[in-house]
Amino acid sequence: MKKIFTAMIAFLIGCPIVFCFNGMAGAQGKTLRLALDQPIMQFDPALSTRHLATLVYRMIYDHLIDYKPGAWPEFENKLAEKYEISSDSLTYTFYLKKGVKWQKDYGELTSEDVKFSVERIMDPKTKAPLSSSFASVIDKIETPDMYTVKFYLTKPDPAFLAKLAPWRIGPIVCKKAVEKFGKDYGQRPEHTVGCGPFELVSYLPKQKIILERFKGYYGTRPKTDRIEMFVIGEPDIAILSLQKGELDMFSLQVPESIPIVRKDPNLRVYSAPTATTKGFVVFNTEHPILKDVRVRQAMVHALDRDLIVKEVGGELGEKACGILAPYAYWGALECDQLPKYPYDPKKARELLAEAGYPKGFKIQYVEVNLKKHKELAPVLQAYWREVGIETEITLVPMSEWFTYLTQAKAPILKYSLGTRPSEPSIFLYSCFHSSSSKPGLNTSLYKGADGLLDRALATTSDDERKALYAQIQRKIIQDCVIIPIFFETQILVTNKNVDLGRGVKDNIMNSPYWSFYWLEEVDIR
Amino acid sequence: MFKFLLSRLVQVPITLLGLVTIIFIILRIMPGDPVNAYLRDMATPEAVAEMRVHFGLDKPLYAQFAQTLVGLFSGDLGRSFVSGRPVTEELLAVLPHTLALAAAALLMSSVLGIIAGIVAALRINRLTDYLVMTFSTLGVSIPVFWLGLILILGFAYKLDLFPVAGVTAQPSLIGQLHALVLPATSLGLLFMAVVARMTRASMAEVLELDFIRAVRAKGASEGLIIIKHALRNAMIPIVTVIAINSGLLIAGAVLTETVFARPGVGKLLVEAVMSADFPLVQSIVLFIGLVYILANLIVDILYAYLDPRIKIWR
Repeated sequence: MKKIFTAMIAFLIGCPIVFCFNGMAGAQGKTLRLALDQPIMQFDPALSTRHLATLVYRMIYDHLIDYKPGAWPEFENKLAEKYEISSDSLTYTFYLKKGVKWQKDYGELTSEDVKFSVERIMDPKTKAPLSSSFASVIDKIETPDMYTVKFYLTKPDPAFLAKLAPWRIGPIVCKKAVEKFGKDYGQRPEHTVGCGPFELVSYLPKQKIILERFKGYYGTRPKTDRIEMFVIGEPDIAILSLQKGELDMFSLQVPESIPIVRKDPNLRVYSAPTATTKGFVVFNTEHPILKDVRVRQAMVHALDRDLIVKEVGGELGEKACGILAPYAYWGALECDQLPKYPYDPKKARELLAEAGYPKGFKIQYVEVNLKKHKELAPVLQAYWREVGIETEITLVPMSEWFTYLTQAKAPILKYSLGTRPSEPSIFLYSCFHSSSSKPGLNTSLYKGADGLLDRALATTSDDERKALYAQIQRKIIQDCVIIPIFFETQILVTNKNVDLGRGVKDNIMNSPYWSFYWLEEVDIR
Repeated sequence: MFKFLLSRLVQVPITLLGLVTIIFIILRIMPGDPVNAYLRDMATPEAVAEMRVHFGLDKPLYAQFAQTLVGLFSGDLGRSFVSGRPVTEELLAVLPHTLALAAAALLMSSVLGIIAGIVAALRINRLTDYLVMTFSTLGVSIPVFWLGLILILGFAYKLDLFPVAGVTAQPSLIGQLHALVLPATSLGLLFMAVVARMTRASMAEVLELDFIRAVRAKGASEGLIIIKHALRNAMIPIVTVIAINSGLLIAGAVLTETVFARPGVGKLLVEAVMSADFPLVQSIVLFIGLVYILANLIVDILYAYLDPRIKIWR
């Protein structure tokens, strides 16, 4: 008994010794501490699928071009000193800045690194989720000298610059480091090499990430010297940590907690209207009942969308009239430029009668079984019931919802997508072109915009493309393929000593997601 | 003893094989596609096809199962669909935190629970007994996440005695131990209540036996009677409960881990299930199965030590 007891004590004392692992030295200079509600799994940007990860990648890596702080979606040159686009939009030439250093003494960035970064994404062996983004348009890449890169495209791609910018797959990685570490690249700090303003110095999976200012950075010095990111899934805990001073900022997604943080004089609240289609619903246009546009129009007229935005979206919802958020996408139409479907239950009943459903019908609506998603379903059900439509709500887990989304398995589906602005062609093509169906994001199985989309992608005239995008947006709304109700608004809460810099005006952030924010602009006073 | 251990060790792979078969079937039956869960809004037809091959999900089910078995016996449990890291690495990254929390909670619940149970048994049907039993009822009834939030609000936020979120604590040993106090208390109180009740019942029964009267008659001190004679004889059901608790603590602390923002096996399992990360779910379930097998083995050995009448080997 004594021996067992002794062994137990030794085990219990020995157990916590594992925490001696990363006794990081005390922070020097200014430290920005923020909370993430989800963990970042790895640091190879080619393999990323999450928006939140871009918050970190943008600090570690740099891009040929970037979005100008406070001027979304305007570009500014970053690694590229300048660039040229041929008149046929098939050749993009980038002239790189000289003397850009890689972190961890991996030498100087050259055109070979840029070529390698993009070709790597296109290579099927890399298994990059977005490989087709480049592979479908790039014919070849040439490097005439150490600081010049030429991309030759097979066809004009209006989104090509956006693909090279942050929040897509544009980060430039170090060829030497990737070749050296292979499959382990991006798994640990010592296997992660960028040329951005911060380098990854510590990573505890599912716990925290620590970045320190890269002293050899070629660009403008960031306002802070260190960024610590903690994974805190519970918003209440994050609020208490912020109020206690253990954190400097985090994104709040719980509407009930917003009044609490607004009341606290030591906290500041900012909003970032996003392009996430959180309050959107999509119809399967090949469903026997829904294929009649009058039925879909009736279902839209049956909803008081302004009231739904106010009551369901609340502070976390930004009214949506069309499919593209006007503050996030180039060429997006405002509400007064789109067809209107005002709340009109009488007209809804008339349309249903015309379509042959005077007594309504029964239909399934599939929704994600998460608190922040499923609030919309009973509201829609109640409105549709008033015009005779009985909706059977099916709640499914997120992983199953993705199957419904990509296989178009539901008659009506919550269409919540975290899109990546700024140029709309990728979103429009992947969500509304008939080639993006089963599997794909064209859940509506819509074919009505194919011709317009193909023309928009083929033209080299910005004006013509803009006009075509306008037609596409109007047609999709006219055909009631989806019901836009609200985009998601993200709320960022900070301590009063945090200065967010140029990307904020009147407490509204200029980036379409808080995770797209320019963290190098953030200062601690 | 050696033969006994050998016979139990032989059962381990058989048990694990059964476990891996069941979990393989359940994962393939349950709704949700890991490829779509991984790609999310990037699920273009080309991406879906490529990732299906990458994850090995394009192969027939029997081939996937065979690959799982080969991996299991060769020690290669595969890579997480989500992070791309080896699952053993994913598990080892959170295991120390789980072990630390489980050890602290187990120590607290066992020691305090046994003491409370002994006190209640010695004062049976009196005020002390009623207080201890009421406390234990409350301990079992109070939701652990609610208790956790109350502890954080009171001791971390208002009194500023502990960090609010464990993950923001100082990385030093003292800092980590400091951050362990509240979650261990929250989790430990629940199990302490269970141990206290079992100890009380078992001790009360043993204290009524003839041999205790005989020892008292011989003039032994009360302390000696309780600790050396009564408690040792009452330990078998208590040890059983503690062993079951240890398994639950390893795998079931997900609510505590979530509230206190700590990584852990329970939380990892929930996240893996939500994202249909098959290799990770399989590995964690196997690990939990191993924990229970080990706990049962230790309990069986302890039985023989506590009660020489029990022969676990012949």
